[in-house]
Amino acid sequence: MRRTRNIAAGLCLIVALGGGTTSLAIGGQPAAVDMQTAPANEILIRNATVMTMTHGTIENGSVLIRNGKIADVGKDVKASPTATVVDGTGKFVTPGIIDCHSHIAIEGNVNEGSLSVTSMARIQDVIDPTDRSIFIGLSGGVTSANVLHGSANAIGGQNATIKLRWGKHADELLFVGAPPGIKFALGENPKRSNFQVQPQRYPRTRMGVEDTIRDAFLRARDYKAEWDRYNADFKAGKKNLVAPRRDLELEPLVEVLEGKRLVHSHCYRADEILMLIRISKEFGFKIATFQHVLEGYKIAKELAAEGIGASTFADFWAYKVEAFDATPYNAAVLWKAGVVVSLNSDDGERQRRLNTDAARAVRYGGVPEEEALKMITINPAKQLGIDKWTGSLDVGKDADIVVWSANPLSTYAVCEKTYVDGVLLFDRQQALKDADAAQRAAAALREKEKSSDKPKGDGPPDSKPPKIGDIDDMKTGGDQ
Amino acid sequence: MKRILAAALLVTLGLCIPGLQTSASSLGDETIAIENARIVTGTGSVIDRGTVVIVNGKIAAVGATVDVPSGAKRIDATGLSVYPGFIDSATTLGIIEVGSISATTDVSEIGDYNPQLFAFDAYNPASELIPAARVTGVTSAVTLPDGGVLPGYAMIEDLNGWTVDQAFLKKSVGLAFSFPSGVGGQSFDFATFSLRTTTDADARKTRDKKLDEIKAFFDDARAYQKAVAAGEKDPKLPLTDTDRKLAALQPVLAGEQPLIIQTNDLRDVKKAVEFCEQQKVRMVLRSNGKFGTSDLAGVGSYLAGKKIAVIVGPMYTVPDKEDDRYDLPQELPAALAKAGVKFAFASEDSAQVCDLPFMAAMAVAYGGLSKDDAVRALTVWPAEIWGVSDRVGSIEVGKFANLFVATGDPLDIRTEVKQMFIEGRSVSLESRRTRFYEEYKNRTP
Repeated sequence: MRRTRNIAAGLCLIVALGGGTTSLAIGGQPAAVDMQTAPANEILIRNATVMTMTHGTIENGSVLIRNGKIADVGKDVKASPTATVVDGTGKFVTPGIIDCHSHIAIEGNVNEGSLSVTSMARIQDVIDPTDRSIFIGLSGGVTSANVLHGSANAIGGQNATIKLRWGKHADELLFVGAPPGIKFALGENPKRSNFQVQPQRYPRTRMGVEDTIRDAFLRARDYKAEWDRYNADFKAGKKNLVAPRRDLELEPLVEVLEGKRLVHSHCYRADEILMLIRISKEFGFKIATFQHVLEGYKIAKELAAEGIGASTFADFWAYKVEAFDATPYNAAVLWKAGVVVSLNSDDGERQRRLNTDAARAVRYGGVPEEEALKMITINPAKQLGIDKWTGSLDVGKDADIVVWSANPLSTYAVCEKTYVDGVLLFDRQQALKDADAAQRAAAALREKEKSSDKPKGDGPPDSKPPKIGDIDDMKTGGDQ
Repeated sequence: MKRILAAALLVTLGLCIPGLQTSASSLGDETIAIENARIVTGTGSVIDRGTVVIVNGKIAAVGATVDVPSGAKRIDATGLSVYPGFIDSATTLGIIEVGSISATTDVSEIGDYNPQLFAFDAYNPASELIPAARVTGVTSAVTLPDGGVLPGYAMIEDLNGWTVDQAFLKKSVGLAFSFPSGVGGQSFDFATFSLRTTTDADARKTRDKKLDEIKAFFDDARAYQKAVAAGEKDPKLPLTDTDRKLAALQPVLAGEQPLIIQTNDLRDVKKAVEFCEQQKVRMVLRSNGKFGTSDLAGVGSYLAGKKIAVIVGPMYTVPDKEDDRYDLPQELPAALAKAGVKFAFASEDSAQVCDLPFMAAMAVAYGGLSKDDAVRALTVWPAEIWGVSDRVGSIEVGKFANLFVATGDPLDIRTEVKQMFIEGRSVSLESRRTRFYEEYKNRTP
């Protein structure tokens, strides 16, 4: 992480010295980290039902992986004689699942809950590559995730788009090239309806949430004006200029105004969604996605007209008042209206059954099967601006691929293999074997301890501490 | 004898223990024949193409060739399947509406010892969550109170009825018991907003202290019963003041009602079994599938040996330990089935009851539970565990017509439930959620 920071700091220094016409450095995701970890060999997954997401489903099809990329997809695919061959007979192959709302792989609390605007806080600084939730995600075919702050604040913080590169360092999990983003939150959570947190904090109403966001953008606009004037003066060759003081809270919001940072806003009620759309129009920025958006179906045509993506739960409701008008038909209504819809987990457990969440879109509202699967693959890729690299089985894309025991929309389907960048990071049989070996090793250690002379202690508790707020937990001030 | 005595005692005390009553049912009065259906009876037998006849709310006939009474309303189910209604064995249906709003929750009372409380008394048959629970085939549910040590009695109800009296199958099916844990670990302490680590030794010490308190409560209940019984025999003895809490424990002490013990780690389970053996009371285990060991065969054989029925749920969970098999909780049902343990699935929720059949499918997909056993654990087994198999749990002559018609395998999410009958009445598959859908899907302008 230090390395990333230095790059960013270096860029900022240049700007501060007046060395360019770009107004501000983008505190986005690093582009300089070497991510070339893919093996040079070939892997051929052959004779499977290949669900490409962009050009239909190929029966008895094959996918060829070369150097971590998809080299070929089709019925008649030639691999080199040295290629590793995976027999896909009876199996289904899909692109890796993309979870558009996640809190996995974050160290500690997901909320910087002290202020109502914490746009300076960055998820990329607190990536925990050892979080087992990464592995659990892989076990359900998840290969990328939008890792977000919680929803305690009207303006939360800078999210990180990651790949689930289990076993790599924190920096290496970041999705290179992914556009930077920021989390907003509307409704009950930023106004702290369900929390007894002291001291009281502004805002306490949806009026206050609107005002908090408007105030932040007014300040950001003023800040941008200062920089724009400074840069213009610099360009005009004026002497003895003093650069404005950098403001890490407002910089990301200026990037939003400049269309360089995606806004992902947590929301529930239709009225608050329209409120944020009004603000976005007033300040001239675009909202990338509404998250949860459980009342999206009430304003499907407005969302479609604005071209804003919706990332929702397939079926999760009634845990609070703003989730009481929720319907599992939400995804279907939005899809029919022409909204780009994704289905997310928001949870370390639910992430590994997003395939069955796609099946819920089929059940509730009759979304065609392929369109439902798009809601967990290419659609979230589009929403996160990473569809150039992942989200479908197309030649040239990253080899983020899942092999399923059956049609992934079946409740009986099990994820058997998950490849990220062509690297096999989850193999069901191997995972079970490894766990059994670990159990045997632990049992052997216990035996050894028993037979040794030293007095028996209770030892440290063996369960990992619960991660605060990374699941749907009202009490911890998490998300949802 | 003990049983009669306890019942007589309670009547004398003027205490209404709902478990001692039976359902004043609201059986349907139509005669209905569902024909040409694939019938999965729940007992393991499947009729490829047959008829179910419903008369006065009950199943009058079922088979490949049965006589349809004249005047019956005939439903052609060609290409469709009929299943017995599913039973969710642990929910908060009817007592939690919106989780975050305490005004709408009636699940957890003040205090540790509340055996005098009954979910029956707070059950809201008009809950918006009840129709929503039905849409995937769930026709009955167990509703449990929560919190403290003995939060009250659970009931089992059919998911239909204008009043709780019309809904219930059995007003009480057991006393909920959150067994104190003697296993250390880390937990989040909201008082200090920090992680608190407890060693096994400390946890055991705390547990033992709590168990002493619980045993004393049970002893008091026995002494109370003796005093009241003695007073009945000898009017000259001093009068015993009525104690609702101690009186409410009598059905458990008499073996009429089980303790529904919520605990997970096998060490705690064994302690709970020991407690029940000492107290000579029955138990049903309510587990989230995390026994603290990956030796599920061992867990199965232990529970089978002790003849303990298990409520398993929710399946939406991951193992506690990093080194555990990643699907360990989903493997449990198959291990229980293999060991011969009777078990039933539970959603442990109020809003997501409709997910119950899909949870069962996870046990099939990951653990290799047979589809037949998955259906049994949603139908006949819970009916037997909760003592209502005389009325529900399978499609057999004489039982309540709790069944549904589906387009295929109801454990697959894509299967549609077309029609449902509860106690022989056709019930709506509409809910708050379908109403909003219908209202907004063609919004104009």
